[in-house]
Amino acid sequence: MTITNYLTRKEELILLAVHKLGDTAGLVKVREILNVSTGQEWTVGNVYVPLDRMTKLGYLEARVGEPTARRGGKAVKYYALTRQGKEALAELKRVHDTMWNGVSDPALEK
Amino acid sequence: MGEKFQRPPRLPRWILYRFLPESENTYLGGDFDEIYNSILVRQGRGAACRWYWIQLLYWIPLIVFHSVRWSLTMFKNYLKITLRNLKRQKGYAFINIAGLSVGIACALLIILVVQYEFKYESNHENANRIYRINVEHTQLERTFKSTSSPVPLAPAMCEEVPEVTHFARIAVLRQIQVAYEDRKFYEGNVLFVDPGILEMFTFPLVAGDKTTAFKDANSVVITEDMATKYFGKEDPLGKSLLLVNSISLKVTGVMKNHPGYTNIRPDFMVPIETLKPLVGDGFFENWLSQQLQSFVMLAEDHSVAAVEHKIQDAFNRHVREDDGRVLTLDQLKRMHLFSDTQPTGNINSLRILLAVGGLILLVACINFMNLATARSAKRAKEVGLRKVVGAARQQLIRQFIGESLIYSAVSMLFALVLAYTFLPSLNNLTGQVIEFGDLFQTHILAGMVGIYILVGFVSGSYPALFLSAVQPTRILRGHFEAGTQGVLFRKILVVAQFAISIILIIATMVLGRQLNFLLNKPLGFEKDGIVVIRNDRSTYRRDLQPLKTELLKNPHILGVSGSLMLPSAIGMYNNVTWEGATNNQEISIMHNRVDYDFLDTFGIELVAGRKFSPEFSVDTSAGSDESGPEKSRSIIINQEAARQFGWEDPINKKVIQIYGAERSYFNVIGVVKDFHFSSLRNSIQPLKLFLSTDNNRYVSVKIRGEGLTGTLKFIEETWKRIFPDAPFDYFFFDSVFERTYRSEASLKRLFEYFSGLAVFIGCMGLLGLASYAAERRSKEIGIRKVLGASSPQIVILLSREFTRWVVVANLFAWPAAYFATRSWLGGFAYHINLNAQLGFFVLAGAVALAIALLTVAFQAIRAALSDPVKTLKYE
Repeated sequence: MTITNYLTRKEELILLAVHKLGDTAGLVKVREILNVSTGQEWTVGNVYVPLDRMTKLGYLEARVGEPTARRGGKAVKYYALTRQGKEALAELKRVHDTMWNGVSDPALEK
Repeated sequence: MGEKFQRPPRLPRWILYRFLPESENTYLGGDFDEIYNSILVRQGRGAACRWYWIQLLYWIPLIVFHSVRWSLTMFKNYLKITLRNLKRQKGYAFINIAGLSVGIACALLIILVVQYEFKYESNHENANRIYRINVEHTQLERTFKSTSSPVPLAPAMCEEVPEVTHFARIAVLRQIQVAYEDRKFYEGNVLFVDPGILEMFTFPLVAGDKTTAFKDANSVVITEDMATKYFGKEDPLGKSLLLVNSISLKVTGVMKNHPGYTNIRPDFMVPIETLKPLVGDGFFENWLSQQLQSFVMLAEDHSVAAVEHKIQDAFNRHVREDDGRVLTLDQLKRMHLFSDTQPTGNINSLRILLAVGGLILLVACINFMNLATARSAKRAKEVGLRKVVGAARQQLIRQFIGESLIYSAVSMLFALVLAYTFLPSLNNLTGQVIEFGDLFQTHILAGMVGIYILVGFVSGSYPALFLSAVQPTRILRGHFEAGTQGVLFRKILVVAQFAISIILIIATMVLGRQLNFLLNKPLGFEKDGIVVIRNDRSTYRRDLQPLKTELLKNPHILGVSGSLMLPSAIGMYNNVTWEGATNNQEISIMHNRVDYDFLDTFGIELVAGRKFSPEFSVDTSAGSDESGPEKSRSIIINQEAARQFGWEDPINKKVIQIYGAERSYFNVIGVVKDFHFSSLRNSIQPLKLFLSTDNNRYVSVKIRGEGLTGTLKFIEETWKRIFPDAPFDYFFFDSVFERTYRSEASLKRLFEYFSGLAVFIGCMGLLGLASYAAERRSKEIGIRKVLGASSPQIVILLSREFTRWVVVANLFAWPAAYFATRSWLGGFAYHINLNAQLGFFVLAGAVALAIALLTVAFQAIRAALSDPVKTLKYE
């Protein structure tokens, strides 16, 4: 992974959400998690665009579930991390940890 | 959460679905519906609805941006392939881009020329509300149209027709002397105008105030150029200019120099009242003759036809019942190209030019298509592979169109550079002052984008549709014989291309012949070796005899004659009837006032009777126009007049001039051979010449060819000695004729260049095709050589095919060129006989063939000389 290919912060969060949700990672669930953990309202577009982009780039793969009545008879598209996606996430975590390591400033603690 | 599913509101849902990616719309639509429903349950319908709409607002820009960015990623791949192809096949790419660039550059330049012509008078803000009043007079089925009108017309109309809000009359005195201290010049553009002109027309003043500039009669507004010419660096405001040695004018304003695209170019504007001492009071009340141009400005939103009608009615109240003059209105904006009366531009030339531009662009596009299809063998493998790994036909079409769009983008850039480079030479050629910046106006830019897309799509269309349809299995098995599929189509294209080039070559030749014909046709008078000195109003009534006597002392001077008009441009007419006319029939006849030596100086041949001579007192004694039949003045008429009067022997017959109720009688003393006293676009009209020794607007001096400089100097010195206060302002008579046919001459030169370019582009394409054919047949050539074919045989083999196409192209080009040139020649009363020029058609074909052969032979010879071992050893 070269430096230019680092995912954006938004994409990182979405990748993490997909990872956490496991088999139930559809757009609606991903958005709920993001809403809750960031405390902000995410628009559908803001969730879908990174999901689609990361699918096209090969970090995610999509799988189509069964149609359900509460969705007006439409199927859910579930996302899951590919190996590349997992590697990217691991890399992000490593960089993240390394960067934060040794930072001890009370002003940064909540 | 067992609630029943609720459909979101119809309208936002419908809009949303327009913006869902096709493959995703069920899942994504479902996601939206699900969230909508959960909000509905928790917060009610209003909140859910609001949420849906807000989502929509965020969604649309995001998804549009996302999909565009994603397709750019694919585009990057196409771009890469295109650039690789470009690099790999440099020669081919060069031919392609060179052809297209030259084609587009031609089109751009032509667009510039045309838009410039359409821009005329647009410097005047009110150009679409200002109209010129023209006068039409029909007599005996001949209509005389004049852009001039009676002097009192415009003010009367402004008063009597409510729709007319402003008026301005413009009277031009050509060649009038203007002086400031010791700086004296003849000025051609001194306009006597109504003060309202500054409000109606847009003449921006850099100094002075337009509301007060014409408050006093003796004031003048001049251009910046004139300010520099007369006053140098001094402040011109308040300075005095002396007009015709007698009228002092105070400079009250300085206007900006006029742009090139206007025909109303006053260097000096003087209030019209100032004319009074020069022309007398009667001038301002004369409804009978057309003396100056009248412009009126209409209030907005009026039907021109209705106003025209009202103006006519008002006019009829001022003139006699049987006056018969018809007034028409010419919009200022349309005056240059579309005036029915006297267009200053030539809309037909522009149409021809536009057609030529279109044809050249077409030739360039054809080139591109030709080369692209011919090269398809190389590309076919790539297409096959793309198809195998899953490219849809749509994608391939997009790729090829995209590729040709890239080529035309590059060509567009080069074309802009070319156009920029050649614009100055074009300006030289046409006499226009086009600036490159004119290209960057919205409508022209839109046109350029149009050309770009057109060129891209037209030239990319054939390879896109043709190549994307090939079967991948056939290509990859190596069965794809490129060339074979597109052969017929390519032949048609090449034939079309050459037909266009040949048409342009023929048109150029015919144009050139006609122009030569116009310039060299014997006109019935001599035009070489004559120096013409202009006389202005202050000097033209003087007696020329002392000057003549002095000049003729020089052996190099053969004759001197004064006349009102030159034999090349006689433009005054009046109505006459004649002895023996049935029912007092009237015709219009042109006239000129000349002195004794006019016929000799210009070498005009007398076919019957005698010339004017001082020995016959009758020539001069009956000087007044109102003389009765027994004491009539002598005139000389031309053969056409005698023919129209139906006279076998015209000598001593009477011509009766009618002017209102007055009649004056003229006695014919001689007949001259018909000579062309106006442009060859018109046929010869009846003419009468009468003697007048004090109307010498032009003094013509016939000189010998040798010792020209010395003779000129002698004339100048003599002139200055005899008329010390008059400037010596002369020109060579033959220069008049070049000016007369200037528009034809510049059209001809444009044609020369553009047809040359069309042939060039066509040859570029042929070069590409020939080199491709030689390459494709390299093995065949190798085998032939091994079996004993000689190099010339191979050259012939390769050239034969192309030769045939060019020959076929001739068959299409000849009739097309014939009809096109015939209709152009039809606009001239005197023109070359097209049927006698058919040799040119063959010649043009031969030229095209020769150029094509040269182009092809270059490649063919190279192929023929190649070593067969090299081409065959691959197997």
